[in-house]
Amino acid sequence: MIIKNENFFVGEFNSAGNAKFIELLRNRPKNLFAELDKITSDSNYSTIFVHKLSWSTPKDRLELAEILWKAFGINGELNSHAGNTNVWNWLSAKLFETLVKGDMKYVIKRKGEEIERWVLLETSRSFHRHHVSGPFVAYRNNWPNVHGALSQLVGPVLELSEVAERTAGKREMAYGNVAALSTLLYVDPKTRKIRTGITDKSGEAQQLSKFFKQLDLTVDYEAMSVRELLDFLPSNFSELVKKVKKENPHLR
Amino acid sequence: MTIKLNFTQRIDFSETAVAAKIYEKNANSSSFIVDVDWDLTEYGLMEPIEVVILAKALGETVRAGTGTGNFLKGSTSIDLGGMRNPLDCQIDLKLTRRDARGIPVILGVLRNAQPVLPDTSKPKKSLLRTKKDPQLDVPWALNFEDGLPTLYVSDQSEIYEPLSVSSPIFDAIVLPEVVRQIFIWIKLPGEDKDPTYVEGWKSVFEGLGCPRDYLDVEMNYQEISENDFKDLNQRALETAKSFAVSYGAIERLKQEFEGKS
Repeated sequence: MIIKNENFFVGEFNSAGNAKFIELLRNRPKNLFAELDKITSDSNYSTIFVHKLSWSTPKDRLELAEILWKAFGINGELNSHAGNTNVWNWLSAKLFETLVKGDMKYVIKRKGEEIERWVLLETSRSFHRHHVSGPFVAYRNNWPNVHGALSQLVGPVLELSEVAERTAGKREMAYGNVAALSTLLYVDPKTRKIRTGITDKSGEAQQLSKFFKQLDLTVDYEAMSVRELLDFLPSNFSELVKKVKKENPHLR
Repeated sequence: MTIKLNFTQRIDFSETAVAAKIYEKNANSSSFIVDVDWDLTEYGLMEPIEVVILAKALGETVRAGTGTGNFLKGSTSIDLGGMRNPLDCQIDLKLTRRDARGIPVILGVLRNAQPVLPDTSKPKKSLLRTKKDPQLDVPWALNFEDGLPTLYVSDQSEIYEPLSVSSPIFDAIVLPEVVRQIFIWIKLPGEDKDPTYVEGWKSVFEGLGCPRDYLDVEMNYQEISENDFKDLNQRALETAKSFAVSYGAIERLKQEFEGKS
């Protein structure tokens, strides 16, 4: 069932629910959507809480994060469940049909995708790729300065940009001033989209990630201000730094 | 006491410098707090230097700056509320000082300290014990000793650098085979298997799609048919494949090659 603008009770999977969800994702049967509806309401697989999520269709990862923040954020009724992977997996199953817009052809085409994009597994090393909890965590990691998380939050819900992959994929870069630096470098402030023409060029996101990785044990760069970080970047970032300073005179 | 120094003269603190314990914020909630105590008094540090404590898990970090006072010995509590995997959190301690250019240089560090978990008296142990072996003349070997799987990795880095544990090639090629071998070890009869590890691995395999009832029945050599063996090998292969996909190993390897091209 595609959920539009409505409130629904949130739940969590038990281990049978998680296993069934994984099995369904792996096999992707024709009646997948109906099966997901079933396991998210069947007490053999799920426990439903008394709290609701106020849902409206998000146009991008940022809007999804904002919707989830109202429920799971600091003052949200579901805040105590924000760390519960069984809840995130349940929510993934509940929102699956909605997020893929009911497009079964797309679902079949994506059969080979990593299951961890929908399920948080004990063996996962890439929680940031999870379609539902990933945007929420990027938002929460940077709250209240959520603007700093934009490089991880712009773009369609089911598409993780290269910039988001590199930024959210390295823990030290996913929050605080380093995340804000990534946003300044790679998000166009006018369009609030990833800047065009930044891939395969000097200063691309992968280079930023590699640069900081080299410093993990020598510089506490997480403690540096955005201005300090901008001045600290090596010369291959100079064009982007120049652009950022032009756009943000207070950082000159 | 041994103090390790590297070529940058950074001090690598010993694990005993930090003690951390996780406990539940409220009964039956999934919110946790970690208490961290540190003691650097044995390192002969004199100047006021800042201590930074980080509680970190996959993709998530909670940072606690402690200021420059009492840096030699102290304690702090960090709220892990909302972390998706708080019980997997590890603790880093950094000792930093701003240099003449204002850059916060790391003077000493301890990484990946394992907190003691609720209801246990020991730090959480990885399901796969890993040891470096300078004598090992193959890149890696999996042994089952002390009732648990142990992955030995050659310490001859010049020769086996491409297969080092931090390499995506290691993740994509070695780890799925390790998973396959452990799957077979779990199912075949054997004495003195550590039940904690067996249970832990069963949960992992279940999460990878193997039915629990299959995992719970240990095979008996006297009753195993050829078909049982074929079935076991097939399931072990499927589980290893699921692991490689869900673990993102193939994806990371692809990215690595794309990055180098």
